[in-house]
Amino acid sequence: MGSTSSGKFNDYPPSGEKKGGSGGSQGGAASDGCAQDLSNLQLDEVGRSAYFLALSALPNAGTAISLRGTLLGPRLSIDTQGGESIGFLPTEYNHLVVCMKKGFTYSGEVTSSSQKPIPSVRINLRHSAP
Amino acid sequence: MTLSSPCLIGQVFIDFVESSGSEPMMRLGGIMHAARTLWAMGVTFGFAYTAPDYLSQDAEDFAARYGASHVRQIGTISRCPNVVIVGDGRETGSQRYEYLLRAQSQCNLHSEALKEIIGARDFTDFLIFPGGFPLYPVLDELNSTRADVFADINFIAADLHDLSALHRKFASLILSTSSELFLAKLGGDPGRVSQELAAYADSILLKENRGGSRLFRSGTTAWLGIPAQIRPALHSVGVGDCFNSVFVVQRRLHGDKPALAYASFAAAEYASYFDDPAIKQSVAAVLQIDSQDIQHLGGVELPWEARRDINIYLAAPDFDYVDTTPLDALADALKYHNFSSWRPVREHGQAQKDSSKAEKLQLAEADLKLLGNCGLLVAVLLYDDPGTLIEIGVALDKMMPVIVFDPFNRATNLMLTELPVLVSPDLDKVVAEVFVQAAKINNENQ
Repeated sequence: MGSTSSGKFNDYPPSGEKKGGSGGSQGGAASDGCAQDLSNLQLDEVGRSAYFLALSALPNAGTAISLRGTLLGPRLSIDTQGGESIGFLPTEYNHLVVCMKKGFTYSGEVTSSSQKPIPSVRINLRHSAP
Repeated sequence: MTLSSPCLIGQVFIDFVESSGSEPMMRLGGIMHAARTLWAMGVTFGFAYTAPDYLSQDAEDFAARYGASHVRQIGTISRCPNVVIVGDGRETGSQRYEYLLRAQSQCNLHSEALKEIIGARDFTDFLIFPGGFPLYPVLDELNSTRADVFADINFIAADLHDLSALHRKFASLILSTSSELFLAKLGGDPGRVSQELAAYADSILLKENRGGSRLFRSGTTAWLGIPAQIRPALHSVGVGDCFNSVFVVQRRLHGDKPALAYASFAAAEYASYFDDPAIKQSVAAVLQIDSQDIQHLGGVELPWEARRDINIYLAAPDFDYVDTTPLDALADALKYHNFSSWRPVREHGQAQKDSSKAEKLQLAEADLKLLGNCGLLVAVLLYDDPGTLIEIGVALDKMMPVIVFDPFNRATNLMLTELPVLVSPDLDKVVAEVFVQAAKINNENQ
């Protein structure tokens, strides 16, 4: 039975030295929550969104949307192409703020919307790497 | 607003992290986690470490690469390799740490080196990680400085009274709800934390894992709370040290609340990567968030003591002829995080083939009554057990949030895959979702 690790430290030294061995798969993109696509995600506070308050209506399935590049409220706002907020991402996705600072952008479309029992919108969101 | 010039004091370890599905990970730990974080923040620092001599060269090389302006070995560890083996790296439940030969570790403190590094520069903050070295002489030496002194006392070995050796108050004492100190010495009671540590510090920072953090002002019951940022974690090793470092540095720039928020975001990033460039890029991105925005972004805030009031019904075929290993792991994880979870078969008993109809009905009714008293249901799909599926349906009908832990990827039916708030084979994600849903229930109850 042999050793299972590389036998040396797995840190990626800041000096820029290329790391050999077998530990390379453990960091970086494989675990990167920024390269994340979200499907059929329900938005928060749709009933209080600028879009709903202005139109008393919700965007139809298929409407193109994107994650606003700046915070609103401060929350992560999902906007129509016209720039109107239709709701917020749940706070479990707050790390996308960090991802946007890294240059990631997110866009997609409404998958469903309903005014009853309370206004609700579901979306798909796909990432675009910098 | 002043810039922080911190100095770290504590042990250097080798962390050996086992993780299912990938090769073991080995890197320098202990105060090297804090050093790595300060490097990621672009902050120079002092590095006063203890370690066995065989680790000295690597410790000093890495500290220098991370930007330490002053490095001194203030103690030599003998009879112990300073190797920590970490079982569940993600802290889904209780972490299995094995600190090899810790009981026979001895430290020969180098008083001159300690004096030299403490006086080497006008450090504004000292961040100490007690454990494995004599605390009294170190604190006694720090008394001569005007710096703010912070101590992460999770692994403090000595009597708490040793903290008085500073002869003035710490800026903050920092501990976690998962520490022995909190659970055993302080009875798992956040109220006692602020009371019993008040004599030693201006504030106490209690870190509550995925439920956020609270900064208690000494002598009061008031606290400043900041939510946790919950995202898929790769590991939890050194994440608390990252939190501490960001907090210490950012509070000088922005004050306590934004500093806690930056620390919370940075810690979530630290838990998501093992490689240094990704950590640096992520921490730098966190620091770009506006200080007003970051403290109001929200997240999951669920105090330790509030979790006892969250009753969780565990729906599963919890029978004596079934291998319940995944259910046991879930129940252990929920207990570790102080939730009240209920296993109905354990509570009410198991129907037998020869049980009468009346006995079976009584058991079924007792289970449903228990379910009705719970706020959240987590189902474990060990196989296609009709009882579990019926309980899911009953909970959904009651508008109760339902989480499905599906360790064998059995869920294909659309009612089962689409109606719960989460269906996942990953226990870590299941536990994270419990925090999210429980925090919502707690907010609604307030």
